Amino acid sequence: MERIRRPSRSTSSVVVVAAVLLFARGAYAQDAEVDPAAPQPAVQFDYGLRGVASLDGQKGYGNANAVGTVDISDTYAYARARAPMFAPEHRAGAMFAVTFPDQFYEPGTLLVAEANAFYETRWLSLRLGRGRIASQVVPMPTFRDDDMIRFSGAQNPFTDGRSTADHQYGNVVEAAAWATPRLFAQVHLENLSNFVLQPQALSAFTLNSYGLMLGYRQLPSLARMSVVRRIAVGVNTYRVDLPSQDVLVDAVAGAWINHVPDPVHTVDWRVQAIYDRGTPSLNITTLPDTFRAEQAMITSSLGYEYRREMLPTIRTNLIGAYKRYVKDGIDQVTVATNVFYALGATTEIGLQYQFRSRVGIPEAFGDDFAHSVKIGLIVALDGTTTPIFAERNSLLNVESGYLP
Amino acid sequence: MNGRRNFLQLVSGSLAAGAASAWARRASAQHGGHGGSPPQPTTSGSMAPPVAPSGPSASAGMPGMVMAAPQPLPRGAPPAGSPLYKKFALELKVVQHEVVPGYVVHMMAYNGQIPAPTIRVNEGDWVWIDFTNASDEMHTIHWHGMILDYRYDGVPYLTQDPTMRGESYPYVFQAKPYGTHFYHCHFGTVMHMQAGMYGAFIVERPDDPIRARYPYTQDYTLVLSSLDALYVRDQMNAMFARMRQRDVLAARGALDWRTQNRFATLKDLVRAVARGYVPAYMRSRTSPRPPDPTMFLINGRAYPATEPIKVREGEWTRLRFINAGSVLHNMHMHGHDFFHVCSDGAPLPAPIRGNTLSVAPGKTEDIVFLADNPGFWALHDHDVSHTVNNGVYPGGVMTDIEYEGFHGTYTPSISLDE
Repeated sequence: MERIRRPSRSTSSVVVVAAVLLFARGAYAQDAEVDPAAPQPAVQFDYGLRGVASLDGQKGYGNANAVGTVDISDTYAYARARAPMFAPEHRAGAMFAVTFPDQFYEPGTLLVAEANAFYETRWLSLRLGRGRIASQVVPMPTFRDDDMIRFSGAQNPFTDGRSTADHQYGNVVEAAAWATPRLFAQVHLENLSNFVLQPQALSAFTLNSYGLMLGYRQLPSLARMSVVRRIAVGVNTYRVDLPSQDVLVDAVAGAWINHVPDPVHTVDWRVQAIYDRGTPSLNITTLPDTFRAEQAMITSSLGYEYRREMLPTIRTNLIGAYKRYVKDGIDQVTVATNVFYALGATTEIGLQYQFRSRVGIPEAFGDDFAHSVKIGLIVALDGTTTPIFAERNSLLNVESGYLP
Repeated sequence: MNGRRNFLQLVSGSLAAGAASAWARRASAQHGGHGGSPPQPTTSGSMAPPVAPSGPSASAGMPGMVMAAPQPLPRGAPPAGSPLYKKFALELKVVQHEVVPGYVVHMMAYNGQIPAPTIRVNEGDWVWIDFTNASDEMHTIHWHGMILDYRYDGVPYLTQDPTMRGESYPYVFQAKPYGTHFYHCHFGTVMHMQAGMYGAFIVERPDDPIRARYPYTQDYTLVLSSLDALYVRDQMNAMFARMRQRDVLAARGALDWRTQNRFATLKDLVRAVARGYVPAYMRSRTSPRPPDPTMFLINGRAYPATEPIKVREGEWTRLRFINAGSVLHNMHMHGHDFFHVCSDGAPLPAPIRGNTLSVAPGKTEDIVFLADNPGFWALHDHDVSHTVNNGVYPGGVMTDIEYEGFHGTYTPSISLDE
């Protein structure tokens, strides 16, 4: 497998963001006159660390050698602060998060996954800055978020394609309106990473994508006990400005259903379909072409979770995905099965096997494999300083009247 | 080993069956807004309780299951339906309650009121109280200070099963002894008492020994409490979620000792732990967050929303302090001395003169004072950490004594941040 040395754009993005923050802080420190008679309002800090570490084994096609690696990608640290505004039911905050991206980044690279400010009311929310993009409507229960991302997420047509992070994060302007605590509409505009078509710095904010998502999301405390956990549809448009085509369009639809809604034994089914109209005339000759070619994909999983004493105990999933590049007639399939056993409320040991076909895709694309096995630990540690805020979708707020 | 396992399974199975039947009783109920108002102080001349005695047709009328009173009725009790009972109806539901202007929290209110309505009866009266649970949590009512048949004492799993949503449970007892008492929920007590589930229960006597010595004409009840609103909110959400989970399990007949965390005996718990059961209080299951009250209330309100004590010059006034909270309140009266006359409802052998009185959690203390110094006088907790609202002084357990018809040269006003 070819390891690609990329321009250290993630490193530079960290530097840019850090510099902005430092300068901003410096400017604030120089200019601000602290008024002791006007104490700070209470601030709620949410913070956490998700450690994902696995021993991976991969085997390619034919005579390709098996490769063993220690992988810490998807490891993620975040800090979010929120404070109440003068207007009742209004709050504002900022979020910062870094992640270890996948193996195609330089070793030791940290990627700024989130660096945004947000504003929320009971029925509206606004987010501005770098963050996760609306490329999927139903998450798939893979070992890592990006294990099937080329099947389970709308593809970023601007990227050179080596890193899955380009399909997950971007600079976003996102506004969501909640008609009820469960029904929402989201409008989003993005500056997606653009390295092939129009190379530019990550800090630049040229909007090159926009879309709409409509969805239903069950309250978190009722999710395991309801038949419908999530249903959503979305459409995304990308201003690619190619000689042959100005815009690309894709549509995403998905559902997450409980076959057995039960807090102890839960059987769930997830499905998500994506049709990307792409560039109909494009033949795939390079990896970036695979993100811009016309394609249709569907991903589905069947899962079982057992929660003894209603605590995390064991969960297992069977996930399958299929993709077809329409113009070239190329079919791709991947299947994975995994099992996670909870050692504690925060920690699971997981094992996943994944098979992937790459029929018709040039070997030079680099990250294709036939068989993959991961075994490792997933540690999710979350904390909150003082829980000032009630959520709009808490049972108390939904059923007994909303209080911020 | 097999024997132990079989025993545990047998106990667990029987508990599960009982629990399932209790959960199967659940009927749907609806939530409503906060329709009540704070109870008004009553004069000793009025013996009518704020909760009007009601006949059977006047009870709460929830569409749920009405539980029969435990049989037989307490020794000496009139038969059910007898007109000799003083009957009351209490319905519990979740409300939004304004503690102080602009500060609104979810609480749990009997008959929509925080604190709950004051119940006044005469010593020796037979009392029948139908409690209806219109909330999504489980509850009981404990009659704090009453000497009664243990089956009506309201302690879950010790004297009764908790009352579930939509169910009614009758409490039947003879009102005794004389004095100032109170009632409160005894299920999830740490949270439910903070959430407002408390009210005064006054047992009077025609030959009131306090009035005989101090002929008071005003009689005020001040229920003191403390509130960690964030703790209450989070715990209510957690309890609601657990109830929903157990609803689903009960409907499937799958509710068992593990999902209820319920054991017949301590030995069963010990055995379960030995077999790997992890109790909810273990560090691996919870992060300790004891309640840390930041709001301190008199009759459900914090200063400056507290009601003033209105007195008449030359007359005696009785104040009944009830500490339904979790912190000590050292009540200090300005401009007057008072006589401490009762503790836990019982008259003291010799009244004690003073100006500051400690009211410990769970205690009731009665004082009387002569209104002989016209003006506006503060009455507050002298642990001044309880005279704040979220740390901002003045607030909390603070009110004032106002003389009727008094017009001084200085008129009181309200300051919110000193």
